[in-house]
Amino acid sequence: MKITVAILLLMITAPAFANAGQVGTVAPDFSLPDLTGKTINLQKFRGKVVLLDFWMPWCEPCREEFPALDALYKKYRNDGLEIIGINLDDSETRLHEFLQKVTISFTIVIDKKDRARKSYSPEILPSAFIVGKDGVIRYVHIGYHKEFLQLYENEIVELLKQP
Amino acid sequence: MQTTNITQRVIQNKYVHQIRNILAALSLVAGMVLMSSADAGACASCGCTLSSMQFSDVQGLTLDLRWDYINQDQLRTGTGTISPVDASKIVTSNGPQEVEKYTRNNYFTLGIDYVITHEWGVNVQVPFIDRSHETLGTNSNGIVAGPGGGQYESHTDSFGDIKVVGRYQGFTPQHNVGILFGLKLPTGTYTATGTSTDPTAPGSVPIDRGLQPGTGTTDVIVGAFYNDILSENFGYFATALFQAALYAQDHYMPGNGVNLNAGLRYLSFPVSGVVPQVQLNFRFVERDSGSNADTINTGGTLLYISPGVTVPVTHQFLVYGFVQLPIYQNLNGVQLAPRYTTSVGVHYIF
Repeated sequence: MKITVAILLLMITAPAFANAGQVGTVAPDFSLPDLTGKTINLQKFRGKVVLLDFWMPWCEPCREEFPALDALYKKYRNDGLEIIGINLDDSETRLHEFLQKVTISFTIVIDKKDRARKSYSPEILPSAFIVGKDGVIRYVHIGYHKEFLQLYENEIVELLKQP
Repeated sequence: MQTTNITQRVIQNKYVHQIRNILAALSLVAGMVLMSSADAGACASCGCTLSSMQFSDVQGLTLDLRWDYINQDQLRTGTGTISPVDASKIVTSNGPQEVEKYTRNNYFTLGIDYVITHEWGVNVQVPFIDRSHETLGTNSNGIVAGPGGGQYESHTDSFGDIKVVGRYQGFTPQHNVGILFGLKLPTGTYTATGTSTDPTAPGSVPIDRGLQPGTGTTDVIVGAFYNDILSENFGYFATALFQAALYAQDHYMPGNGVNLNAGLRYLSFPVSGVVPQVQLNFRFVERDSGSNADTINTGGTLLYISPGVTVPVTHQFLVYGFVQLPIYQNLNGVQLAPRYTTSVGVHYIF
């Protein structure tokens, strides 16, 4: 073939980011605004067990997961659990429409510039990263099934017991 | 008669073998899809995909550097191979058939991708092409070139035609559907020369237009893409691209081309971040046109299967590799084709 068109065939699908949020690695820090505009910094929760949940309001499994996360937070907040929902959607309309339908006790932050998204590289939503008191990612869950809730609870209880 | 019957059986067997190869490859991909279809109902409730692949919506800059190795050393005509000796006996409407020996290509492509907002992005591809070529010309016996056949050898290494492609992917909240629109610019040279190997006519000779680093033309590129997840374990994507030159340059116009790609990605590899995948790549390209074009031996239809893998090195840096294997080729005239191609690259996320 005169023109080497073969190379045009391949669609290189290297992802936009490499997997940063891996089990056993230190949870990448971030500073993001919550719904009131206050800056939430992950480092400040060192010493607590933190569940980071990447989500978007249009994602049905994310919406299904929220009541379960809220129940978990209410049950263990006094024992040292923190839950931070990291919204990746830049539509404030969708966010507020969703929040009007649910009551959430845990912290919601907004990642409009993809800072946390780049650090944790979730490809599927929701993605939950459970961080131990030492700031190390101990568990990662991709997507949501009802069965995950018991898994989350078992893992959180185990991590809360650790010094 | 017996020889004819044997020949017919050989030809039939060759076609059957080719069809079996195509069906086997398609079955592999179909099988992977079907395997996942049982989970498809659960998939809709398990997660939502984000557009994090090539057409990413993650804001910011990424750089990509890729090396493609393409060694075109197999003469083919139609859907089969042809020996150089048999090719040398062909007489086309333009005269005796040219018999090329090889074209070896090393493409080094710098990709610069910038996502302006979640909906808009732009990608620039800057290729540097190292290409060696030799032809026996139009007066050979397929082994040795005769005088006056225009035989030559060439080696070029220079920048090729830069592509600038914008994309809009704001049709869905997850930004997994989009359109592509851009231009291939005439930045590569189209007047490079080779060295005649005809002792009766030594000196510099122009390289065939189809083998120049650039086409000399501005081409429009339009397309669309889609990606989604099939299940917890598999993601998939599809793209379609059309490219057409807007004008002829110095009596040469490359043929219009259509690329269709579909791929499966395995998301649950035991080693975190490693993503194996397989693609099917289809291309149809028309013949080149113009008095300076080879209108006989250009264009065709190709189908490749391309397994590959991406591997993260750090959270900002990853490497990838692919091999492309032809499973169907139908080429106009007589053309050099690769038996396979390889691509390796690095990707850096700012």
